Amino acid sequence: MNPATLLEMQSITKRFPGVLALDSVSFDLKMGEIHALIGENGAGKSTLMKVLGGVYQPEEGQILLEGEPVEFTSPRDALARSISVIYQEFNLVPTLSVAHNIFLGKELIGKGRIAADRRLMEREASKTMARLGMKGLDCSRLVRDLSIATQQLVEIAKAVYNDAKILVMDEPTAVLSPNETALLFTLMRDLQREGFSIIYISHRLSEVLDLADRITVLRDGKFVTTLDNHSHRVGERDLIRHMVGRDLQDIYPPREHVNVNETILEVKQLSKKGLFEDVSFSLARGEILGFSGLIGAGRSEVMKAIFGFDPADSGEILIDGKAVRIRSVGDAVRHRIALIPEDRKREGLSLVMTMAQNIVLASLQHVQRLGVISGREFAATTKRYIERLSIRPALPNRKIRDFSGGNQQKVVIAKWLANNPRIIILDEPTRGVDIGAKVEIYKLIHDLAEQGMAVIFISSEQLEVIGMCDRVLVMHNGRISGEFRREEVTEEALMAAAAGLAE
Amino acid sequence: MKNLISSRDIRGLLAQVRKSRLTGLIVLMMLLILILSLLRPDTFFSQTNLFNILKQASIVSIIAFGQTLIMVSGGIDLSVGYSLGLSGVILAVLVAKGLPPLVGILAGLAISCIIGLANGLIITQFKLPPFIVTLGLAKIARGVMYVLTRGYPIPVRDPFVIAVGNKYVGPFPIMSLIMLSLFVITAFLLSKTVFGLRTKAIGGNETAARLSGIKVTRHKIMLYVLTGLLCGIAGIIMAGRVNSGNPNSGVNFDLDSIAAVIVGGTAMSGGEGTVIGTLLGALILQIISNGLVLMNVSIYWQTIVAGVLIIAVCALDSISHANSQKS
Repeated sequence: MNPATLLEMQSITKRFPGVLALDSVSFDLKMGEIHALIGENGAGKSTLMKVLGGVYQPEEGQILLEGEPVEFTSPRDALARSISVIYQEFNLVPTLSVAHNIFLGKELIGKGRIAADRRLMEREASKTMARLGMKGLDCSRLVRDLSIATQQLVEIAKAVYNDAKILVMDEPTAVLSPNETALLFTLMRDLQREGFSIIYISHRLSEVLDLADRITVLRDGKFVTTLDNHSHRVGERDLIRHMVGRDLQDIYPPREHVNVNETILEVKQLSKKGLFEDVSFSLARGEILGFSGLIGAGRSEVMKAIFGFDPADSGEILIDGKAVRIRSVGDAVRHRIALIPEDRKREGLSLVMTMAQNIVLASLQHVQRLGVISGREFAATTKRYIERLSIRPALPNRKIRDFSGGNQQKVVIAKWLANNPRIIILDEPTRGVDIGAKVEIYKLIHDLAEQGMAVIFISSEQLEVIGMCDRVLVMHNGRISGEFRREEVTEEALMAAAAGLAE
Repeated sequence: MKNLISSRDIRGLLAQVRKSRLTGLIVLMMLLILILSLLRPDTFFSQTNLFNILKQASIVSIIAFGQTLIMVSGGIDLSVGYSLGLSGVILAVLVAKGLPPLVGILAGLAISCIIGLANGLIITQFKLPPFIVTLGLAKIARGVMYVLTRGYPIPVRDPFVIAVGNKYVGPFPIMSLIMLSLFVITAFLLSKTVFGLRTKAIGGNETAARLSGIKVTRHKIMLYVLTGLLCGIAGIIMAGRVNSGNPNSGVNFDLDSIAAVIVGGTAMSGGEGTVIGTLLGALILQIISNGLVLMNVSIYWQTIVAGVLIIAVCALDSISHANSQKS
């Protein structure tokens, strides 16, 4: 007998200025199941869950809970109907204790007292935490002093204490180590047995196949399919095909004219206390060198050190065989190094400025005379890169915040190409970018390498690294834990090296 | 009979006003002038009175130009008022000691630049919020003024300085001409030069600016020194206008300059703003206070009206912004 349907979301449509984030998407959740929601970045997974959580109100469609239509106008409404959403950015107050966080807004008041009873709350909190496998956690500790994994458990404890029936987890494993991930999965299965229904968002397909009862795929804001993980034989390749809507070989451009020339960059024993240690590698002209590993493995930090933004404590950087001193971004720019940072909104763009202003920001010396901006040069540079990278819409005076993720990313790349780099470092260049723009960015990276530029490509998506790179280095805990040539790299090998299990 | 102005024209104008803060400010200024001219036809719309308004708005405008640059870069400068005061006091003290007026003027400008330099250095080297640092420097400058003057104005009798603060070239007050030339310079600097674009980039996203190779620390220090220099110039003019180095002459200029900048459309969060907006903001605030005087409204009420206006202008802007986001 099929378990009863607990939740139904019917034809949900949600628009944002300029984008149709959800286009008549339907989704249902059965009692006691783990239902995975997958799709590329920007496919609408998080938006759908924010609709469920009451953060967004849909323009069309309705939500049925146990067959009864409900309307959530705020997160409070969703919580009241036993739906708890754990977002990627936790909703915890870092400066309050574990117990205070769990009981936030519904503090326990002791008998005959008027104030909240701290001891009582701490006792209750540690009972809940023990139930989640954290026996003996001191619940008077401040949340900010806990590890990310423990903070996540506090979030789950909050949901459990709220009598949640539906638990939504948005990429819970993105920030966890493999051990912590395994523990979390055990816990999720326990919760499932206790009667919780779980919606699980992830882009780690092997985990999804491992854990989920059913899998729903979204693409570009549309529902693609729901697969039964028990009755079908579903594999990763199938999931990818549904996610991107085409076969893998059409995504990554063929790398035929690999023309790896002389070494341009050498890094020797680069170390920075607490961030990375003894990192050595070399990079040749025309080469695409991948950097794989878990979030927080130190990849971005190494690149920021090479780029002079946050210089290393010790070690050597050689360009064209000569040792160079890079102590500031200005030094790196003089050596014609470019860095496309990982978080384009926080580090790459000035969101209140126009697209054109952002494009020229790193190459102002080319568009000025005696400190005055030359209107003609400015327009010419902007036009050149809008055309070369097909940035759309081609409106240079529009504010950059009104562009899509993919086009924003192209603008960050354009900003650095305008400076004629020889070495270009791209840190997660396709995160939060739709599949069309992704393919364009892959193509562009290939073209740059073919023109002789040396490319460093950091990505946490293993398939992307495998599809794109001539050589892959893996980092684990601030050290290089593996090196693979294009022919020998596999997902399993990358995973093992990223977890520090290689050799 | 057909209306001369169709409702579509009005809607078009309203849309334009919503779209551009500058158009909105110009319309607001025109409306104020129109209303006050109708209410007080003989006194308000006279050449003398209009030049008076320009003159009264000059000193605060000069400081507000600097404040605009600082706020576009994401900072704030609370020391402008006392920096202005100290510049005039130093001038007065040195001239009273028998030194040539030129030395006094240069020393006045220098002391304001030094306050700016101190602001910039402390903010960037100790990574402290500009609010705290400039508040501290404001207190220090104020204290130094009282130490130098014991609280009493020191007379300035130098004819050049007095002329700068009081004389006219043709119908134009000299101080307003100085203000307008500084307006042209700072407006050009912010909107047409690499320096201006860098200023916006720093205010828009400091990390991104640094990662784009912009020397953020040096740039910020330059901004505070430049603002210091503008305060120094304003201080000399003020000393000429009141014929003295007065330790109380800078009071309220900090908040008044910020008010002009905010009414002028510069975002508190930095990254965008115009010097012309600031000039319009300063003029609008001055027109209102002038109009209320002509209508015999007490000075205390004027302050209340100014407060209401600042909030109203920004609230309107915020509402229309939210609306344009929705559509």
